[in-house]
Amino acid sequence: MHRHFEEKIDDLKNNLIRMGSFAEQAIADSIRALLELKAELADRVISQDRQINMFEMVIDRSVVDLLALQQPVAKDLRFILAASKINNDLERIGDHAVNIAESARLCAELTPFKASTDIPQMAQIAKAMLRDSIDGFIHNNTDLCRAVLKSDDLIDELNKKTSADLVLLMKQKPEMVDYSLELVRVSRNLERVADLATNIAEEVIFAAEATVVKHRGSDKGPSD
Amino acid sequence: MQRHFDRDLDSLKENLARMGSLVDDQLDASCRSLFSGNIDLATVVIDGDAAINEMDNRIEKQCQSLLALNQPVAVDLRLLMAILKINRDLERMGDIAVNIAERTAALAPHREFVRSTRLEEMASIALIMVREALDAFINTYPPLATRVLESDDIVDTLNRNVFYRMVRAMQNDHRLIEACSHILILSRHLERLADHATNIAEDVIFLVEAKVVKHQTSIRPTGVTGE
Repeated sequence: MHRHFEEKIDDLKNNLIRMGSFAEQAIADSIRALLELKAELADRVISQDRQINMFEMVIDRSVVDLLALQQPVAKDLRFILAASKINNDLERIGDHAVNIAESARLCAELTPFKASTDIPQMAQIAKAMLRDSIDGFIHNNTDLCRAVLKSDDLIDELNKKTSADLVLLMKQKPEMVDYSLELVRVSRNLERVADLATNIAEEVIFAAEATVVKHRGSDKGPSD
Repeated sequence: MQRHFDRDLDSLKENLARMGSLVDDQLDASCRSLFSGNIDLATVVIDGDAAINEMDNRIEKQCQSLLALNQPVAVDLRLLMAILKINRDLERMGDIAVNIAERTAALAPHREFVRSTRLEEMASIALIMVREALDAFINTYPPLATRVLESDDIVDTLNRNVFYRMVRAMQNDHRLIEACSHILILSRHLERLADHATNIAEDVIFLVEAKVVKHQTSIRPTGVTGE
């Protein structure tokens, strides 16, 4: 039952791709549950997080196996280490989808207030960043990943603006405090998803080029 | 060759311990700045993050070259993987310290109100968890790690308590809305800090007992390849 190293690397890659599409779907569904006030969809996102968690454990184990049994060097080693981090980032993205779904469920229970915020736009950008970083990983496309790094500032700005807008709304309409707080929470979670997509993009660049791009320039940490 | 590896591994562990104490100092200072309204101290914390990021990069590079040059197996490999993960958690904890420090100025005028919440209690429990998790790693002592896992629930409960109180405070007095928003976010950051300490504790247990304690469920994902 000896399997070639390349095959095992392919398995690892395929598992990450599947996990990535689970995570993408979870974010998309949680946002749809929020915007369309669909409690059942929110519940589904919450219960499906176990799939993503199991993927994380399986991938974690295959990373350790690959390192132990194949003793990779140079580019393969970088790839495996990057895969291990991307795995971790995707699991956290799944957790953020759960947070958003929980907010969606609460919002569905509250009186349906209409607040116009930048959340739909934020969600679009965060989803695109996630998709591009995963595509960049699949196709080894570092240009795509560098574009992801640039979008992160935009999300940070939108998150700040959204929070400020919602604080204003709460001051004007105290009866909307509960609802607004959930939206603040969603905005922060989207900002974190964008951060994690940025991490993935950084890892892809590192695996391909051995260039460390994190902690470059203005590293502000989480801006939420 | 093996002796060389051991020496490198020792130096890596030393660096991780140093990283741990840098992060611990940053967290401690950021909480002191927050609860005493000391804006100068907050600035020191914000500037201090660069040293942590530098150490993060250094530890990662050390891990990579150890993996590449020595091709460790079994116990040594598990240790290296745990160090990589703990390093990642520590780096994020450093970011949380910055975030706490950044809110010091906005909350300085509301110090009395901040003190009336259970935020300080949360912070002190979370900080103890961080220290215990690091000690458990440095001294390879799983019982301490188990205690960290147990404390996590307390912090979660406090986080919910703060949440409900802030919602009520915001509804009753709209002048407190901005302060409450900051406190809510801080409360969640402290909760996350406790989560990171929990991650480290889990890694320590995994390291010693080769037992995975996270995500304890019994289902398998569909479509997993190569198993």
